[in-house]
Amino acid sequence: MAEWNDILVYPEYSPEKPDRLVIEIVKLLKKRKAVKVLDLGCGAGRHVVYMALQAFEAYGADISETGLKKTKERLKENSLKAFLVKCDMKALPFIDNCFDATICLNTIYHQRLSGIRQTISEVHRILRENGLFLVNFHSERSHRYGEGIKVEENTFMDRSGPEKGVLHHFVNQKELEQLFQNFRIVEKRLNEKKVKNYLRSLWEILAEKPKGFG
Amino acid sequence: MKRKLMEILACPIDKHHPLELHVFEEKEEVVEGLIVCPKCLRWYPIRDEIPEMLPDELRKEREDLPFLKKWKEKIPEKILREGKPFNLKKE
Repeated sequence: MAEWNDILVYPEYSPEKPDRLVIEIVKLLKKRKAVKVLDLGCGAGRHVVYMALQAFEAYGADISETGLKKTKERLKENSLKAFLVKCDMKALPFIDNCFDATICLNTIYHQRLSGIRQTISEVHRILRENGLFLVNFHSERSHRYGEGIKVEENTFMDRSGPEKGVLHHFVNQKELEQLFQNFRIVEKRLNEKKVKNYLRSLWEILAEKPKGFG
Repeated sequence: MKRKLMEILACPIDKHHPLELHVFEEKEEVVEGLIVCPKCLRWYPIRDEIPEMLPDELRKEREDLPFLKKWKEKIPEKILREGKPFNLKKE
């Protein structure tokens, strides 16, 4: 089974440019005067670097030391500072109500539904009131749906390739509503793109921790 | 690891805060050290400037026990004997 330490060695898993979603949320975070921003599942650190560059107090968390080491190198190359932690996204090592925002892109769906639920609950706990959570999920409409070994409803494990043994969970609208019942959905978008004959289909969610949960 | 991180770091298991920091080597940042949860006695290594705050099931005894042995002169006796998930009680 491939581990993230091995997968993150491939250059295609270490892009440098920030995702357009992150560029968009930065504008909103600046408007809200956000300070502490966590990139959960930071991988090789492109968003930790971008957040630090945008003068946020940037935090990067990942289970892979390969990813964290690359993040550290990139920060040094750019003379930037950030806080890095190796951890499991289902058991976050942070106090309650401490982050203004958490971003988690192309990561949360690499686990079973129960793990996704735990992660969302943990993000809810560490966010301040009105804190923002930016996250994406594969949709059931994705061309990848059903590929690999079925490990539970809507979760499949890759049989081969660089992600051999890695899980992919696919969500639908109803599941998303349940997953985010303790959040206020600010924006929910199904981003679909045809690449050759394949349909890339991702739910992009921007959610806010409502007042009264602090 | 920057010392300021301790302001928001909590035990990933029982969420206790504040945690104790034991520094073994420090340059601009803490290079090697130990973070201890005084409530549950779990200990977490800081290696190569990165704190490793993993739950028990993801810890590797073959990597963690040598770390405890390497720094045992600087680690509180209670952690060496009763620390979780691994300790040197049998040694």
